Parts: sequence; C-alpha cells; structure tokens
Amino acid sequence: MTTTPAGAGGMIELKDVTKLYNEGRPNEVRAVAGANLVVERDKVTVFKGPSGSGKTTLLSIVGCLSRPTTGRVLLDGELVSGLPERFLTEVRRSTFGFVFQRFNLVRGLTVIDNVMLPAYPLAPPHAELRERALARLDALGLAGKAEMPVEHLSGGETQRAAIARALINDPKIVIADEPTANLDTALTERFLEIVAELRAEGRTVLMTSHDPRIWQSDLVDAVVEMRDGRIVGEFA
Amino acid sequence: MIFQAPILALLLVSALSGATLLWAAGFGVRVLRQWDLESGSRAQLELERRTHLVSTLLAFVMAVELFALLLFVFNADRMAVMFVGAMCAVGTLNVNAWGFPALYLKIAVFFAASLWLIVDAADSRGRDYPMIRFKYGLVILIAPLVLAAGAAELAYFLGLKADVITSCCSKLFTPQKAGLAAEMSGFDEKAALMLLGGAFAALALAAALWWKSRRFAALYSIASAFLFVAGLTAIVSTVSLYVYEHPNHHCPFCLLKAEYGYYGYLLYVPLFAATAMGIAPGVLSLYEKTESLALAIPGLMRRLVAGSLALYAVFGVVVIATIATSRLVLFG
Repeated sequence: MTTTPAGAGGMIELKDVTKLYNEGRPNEVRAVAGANLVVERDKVTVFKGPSGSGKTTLLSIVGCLSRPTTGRVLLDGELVSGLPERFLTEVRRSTFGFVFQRFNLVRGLTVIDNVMLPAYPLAPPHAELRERALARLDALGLAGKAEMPVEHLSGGETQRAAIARALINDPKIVIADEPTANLDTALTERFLEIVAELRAEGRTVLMTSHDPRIWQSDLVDAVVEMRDGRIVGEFA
Repeated sequence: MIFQAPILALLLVSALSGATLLWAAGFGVRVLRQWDLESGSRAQLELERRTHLVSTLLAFVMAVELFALLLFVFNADRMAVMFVGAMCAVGTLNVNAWGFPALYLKIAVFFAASLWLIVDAADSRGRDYPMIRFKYGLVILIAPLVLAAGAAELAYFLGLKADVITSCCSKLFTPQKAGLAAEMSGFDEKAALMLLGGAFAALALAAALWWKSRRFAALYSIASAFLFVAGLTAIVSTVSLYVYEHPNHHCPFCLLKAEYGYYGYLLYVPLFAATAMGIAPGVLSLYEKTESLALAIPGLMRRLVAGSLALYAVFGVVVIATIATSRLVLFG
C-alpha cells in the first residue's frame, strides 16, 4: 500500500479534512467529509470516483489551492493548510506543479512563454529560464514547437506543454486533475510513460481520474476511492 | 464650521477607524480566547482565514491614523485665521476645552498605531503566527484609545464657534503661566540643549551597545522615548527662539506656519518618525528567541534602529543648522 493510515509520517498527511462550499446556506455542499490519508513520497497515487465525489476538491486542498473547512494538511511534517497566505504561496510555487483538466494554457502566447510563466515570480535570469524551459519541452518532444502559439497544438501536444509548464519550477509533487479526460488510447499511454519518467525522477504524482486505463495501470502505486466526499477505499 | 474638507476627512477617518478597531477588537477577543494552531477545528480555521483580512484592514487604518495626526495639526494651523485672538494652531486648539485633549490623544494613537504596524510586519514574517496574541491584545488596547481620540475630536470640531475670542500662544507658552507648556517654555535654554545632547549621547550609547551585543534593545527604546521628550523640550524652550529670532517667543506651533517656511515639519516629522521606530525594538526583542522569527526579527530590529538613528540625525542636523544660521545670540 502506498497510502497508509494517518500518523505514519508520509510526505502528505490529511487529518480529518472537511470541505464545505456555500457554508450555512441552503445550497451547502459537503465536498469532502473527514478525510484521513497519508501519501508517501515518490509514488503515483490516483483518486478515483464518480463526478461530485470530492476528488478534485481534495486534490486542490492537498495542492494548497484551497483551504479546508476543518482539519489539517501536513507536508513533510509541516502544517501547511494553516500557513499565512504569503508562505502558502511560496509552498505552492516551490513544491507543486499543476496539470489542470482543461490545461489552462494562455492563448496568444507561445508554447515556451506558457512554460516559463510560473517561474516569473521567482525571477530567475531570463536566459537560464529559457534554457530550462527548452530542456523541458525537448524531454517531452515539443522542442520544435516552442515558438508556436499554443492554440496551434494538438490535444496531446497541449497536454505535454501543460506538463512542461507544471515542471518548470522543478516541483517535488505533480498534481494532475483528470489529465487524460480528452485523450485517446495512444495519447493516454504516452501520458503514462511521462508519469513513469516523473516517478523515476523522484517526484510524487497525484492524479484524479475516471479512466480505468489510468488507475488499472501497473505504474500506479495506490488508488484512493472516493464517494460522496468520503474516502471509501485505498488499494495498492 | 464643521463643513470643511479637512475636518470632514478627519471625522471620516476617525469614524471608519473607530468602527474597524471596534470590530477588530471583537475579533481580537476571539483570538485571545480560542487561538490554537494545533487544532484543526472549524473555529480555528475560520480565525486563520480571517486574520489575514482583519490584519490587512487594520494596517490600512493604522497607516491612515499616522497621516491623520499630520492633517489634524495642519488643519489647526490653517484655521487660525478664523478665530479672533488666534495666531497659530494654539489659538485654534484653545477655542474649546477639547482641542488639546484631542491632539494629545491623536499623538498617543500615532505611536500606538506605529507600534502595531511594526508588530504586524514582524508577525507576518513568521510561518506560525508567532505574535498573533500580542498583536490582537494591542488591538484591544488601541481600540478605546482610537475611540476616545475620535470622540474628543468630534467634541472639539462640534464646539468650534467663530465668535469665541481665543488665547494665542503667547498666553500659553510663557514661563509666567502654570502647566506643562509653561514649564517647558521656562526651561533654561542651556540646560535644554545639554539635556538634548545628553539624550543623543545616551541614544548613541544604547545603539552601540545593541549593535555590538544584540542585547539590551529595551535600553534603546527607553533612550528613544527620552530623546523624544528632550527634543520637544528643546524645541519649546530653545530651538523655537532661534527660529523666530526672538528671545521670548516659545511657541512650538508657530513653527508650522507658512511664514516660517513650515520649518516645524522639518523638526517634528523626523522626531516623531524616529521615536515611533525607536521604541519598537524593545518590544520586538521579547520575540527574538521565537523559532519562526529567529531570522526575521534581528533584521527588522537592525532596520528599525538604523532608520531611527538616521531620522534622529536629521532632527539633530536641523536643530544645529537652526542655531548656527540664526541671527539670535543667546549665549556668550
């Protein structure tokens, strides 16, 4: 099992995490209810479950994109969910790389400009950043399209550009929300190869997925099943 | 009389500050009673989410209060022409019984707000809200002060009557009268300058001691407070005489007038700003050993001490330049 009971001291620990939307209103939604989980480092973990089961919300809490309503999130033993905003931004920027379901690349910018974008707040020398971005694109087979506007890329290329962007700050943890939702079998397999490379590089990968091709893959170390905001099962 | 832009601005600032401080003090009580970073309870997480908002609003309010003192004094001077007998801000402040209490309370708010802003800046450098209880404890103490200052200001402005014949500064800042102003006016000129020199020496000593040992920051803060008192005394008893080139005119408010080139602002702004920065290191030193502030506090204290020393130096240079360039000869 990659996921272990809370308290065992993994890379990411969730303790009694609950997330309510529209709290106190008639349309209140309990997106996550009392989640306890430990995710170990350098592994690939997939959150599966039907739409509305709380996968994306839980992933956004782990990635410090949103704060829980109750409960705590610890990263390498440090409490991160309660950090003041400026430190939370630092953690988010230096620790996580995000691949969003719709990829969220900025139209009108070139591929390389999109890839370099998350590094700008860290203000590295431009030449060095460009070199790093090109290396990322090269590793993902996109070096030849670096100067192309992102809207000219195919679906698979767009996804790889989004992955290159997620990796530009060399994150320890890569978070991908439904990364293969719009991809065919061949592209899904290519994506899994990339995930294997990320794991080999020593990164922890967290994904949500409806796709059995993802959570049945040998590459995946653990599957966390969610239903109605609750973790209902954890499988190796 | 109340419908004048500076008065309306000041009243608006006081009303907004009072309301914000009152609300923040209520939040502060919750922080003091419920804050527990170990807990993942809903109440704790709500406090964590809100503290950023409350602190941001408070920082804005406190910063505005700093400028409100300047506007209050500027306005008092500006309105002197409206009252019979008033030559400067003293006459305006003397129109009714609330003028000087309002000024003193606004000065107290100035220093309290400065301290809070510095504490907030230090607290925001810690990952675990290290000074949060102290910060909101301060808010609970500052709130009544801001409300009292606002109330005194309102009473003062509502009580401004154009037909009142007021007293000018020569009636107040004269050794012949009783009270603090008269005491300061009557202070021997040579003794006042020696006191100021001694205060500068004490400050330099305290700064050197702190710089060398990184200890005794409280001494620097005490020396700062002492220099503030000595500075004001020197301005009233001696420096003002050199500015006016008149051996009996001690008013510290006429210095603010256009006909003296707004000279007073050159003296007061550095003195007040330096003191606000100078009293903070002693407070911050209480948190020097806090783990999450171990890197941030020394740097912040260093900047505060250096900044206050620089501003005191400006004040000192202005005092010396005033004496050196004046045609008045008091000694020898």
